[in-house]
Amino acid sequence: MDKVIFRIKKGTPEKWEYKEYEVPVENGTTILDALYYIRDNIDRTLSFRASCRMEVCGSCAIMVNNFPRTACSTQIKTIGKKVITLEPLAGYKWIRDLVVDFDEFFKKHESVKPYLVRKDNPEGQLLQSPEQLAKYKQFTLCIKCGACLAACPVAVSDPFYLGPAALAAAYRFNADSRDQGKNLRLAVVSDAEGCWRCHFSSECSEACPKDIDPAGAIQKLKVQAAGYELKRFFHLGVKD
Amino acid sequence: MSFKDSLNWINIKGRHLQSGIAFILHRLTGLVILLYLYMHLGALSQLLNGGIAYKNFLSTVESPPFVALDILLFLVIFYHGANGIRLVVQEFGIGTRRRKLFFWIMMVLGLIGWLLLTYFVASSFIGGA
Repeated sequence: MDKVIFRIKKGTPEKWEYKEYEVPVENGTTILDALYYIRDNIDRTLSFRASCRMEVCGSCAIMVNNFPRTACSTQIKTIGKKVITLEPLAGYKWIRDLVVDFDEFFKKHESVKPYLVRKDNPEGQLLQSPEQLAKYKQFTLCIKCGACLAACPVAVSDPFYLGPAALAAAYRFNADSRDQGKNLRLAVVSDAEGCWRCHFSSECSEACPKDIDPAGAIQKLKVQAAGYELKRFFHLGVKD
Repeated sequence: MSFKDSLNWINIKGRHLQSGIAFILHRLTGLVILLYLYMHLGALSQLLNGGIAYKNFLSTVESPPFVALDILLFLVIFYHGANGIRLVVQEFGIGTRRRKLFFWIMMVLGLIGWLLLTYFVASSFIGGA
């Protein structure tokens, strides 16, 4: 069985250091397995977040060698390094060890109204064709792990930027044929700290563990937002 | 957020060439072009000192070290332009999943443009010397 050294940023913002832990690794061992191994056998004080262990809950995203990944779905041998550095997600308020505060992330997410908005009160099902579903389906797979925001060079240098996850969620509902709240969302995202802050570095799409393309969603949102702003500018009756 | 945090965009660790590194290079080349614009305006302002002074200034900036710097500046401009065209196209939501392909196509086109221009500048410089 191979051994891998984990360098983990340990402590709090006031006092921290990198601590090294040696972990036995075999084919299929994930970073989350290694974290549990360290906590159970070497250092019981190690703090990290995890829940489902199968890339569904989005709790365990951390920086692995400076790149955000979900610990549960990253196999150590695929990284191909004998020393792996683990740090808390970049761009978030650090609490301790590998745990960050997600409050701001979820506030931003909530601000774009990530739910179906209806003006009427329809009875029965709202039917949708496969083509209509295909327009937004990939964005429904988002697990809110926050890796996209940690990868984004704009988000890590501008705390007010809404970030890829929230903007992709806005596009997901704007592209949904059942939704009637497009202008409500565009009023929020068509802002200096909204979709126009994105400069298409597209690191968010590189980082997404679910292979979603938030960078693509934001660009499509920009096209929608440009139309929305033009209509507003020419007083063409933008209704919420 | 501290000033140090606001410079996080420039950190290349963990970034991908066609994504984060291309973004950093685009900003840095943009800054170089902006700086050059002011230097160019400064150079033109030499005209205020009269025609002879301006010709003397030109003879200095047409020397081989300055031409070499010009060729490097072309590289910066071609990178910024080629990547900028890619960004304009992709910011319309076109081919956002094919970032790597778009990036390399534009880099190859930019490189060809730069090599051609370098050839013409070098040949006219050598021919004129």
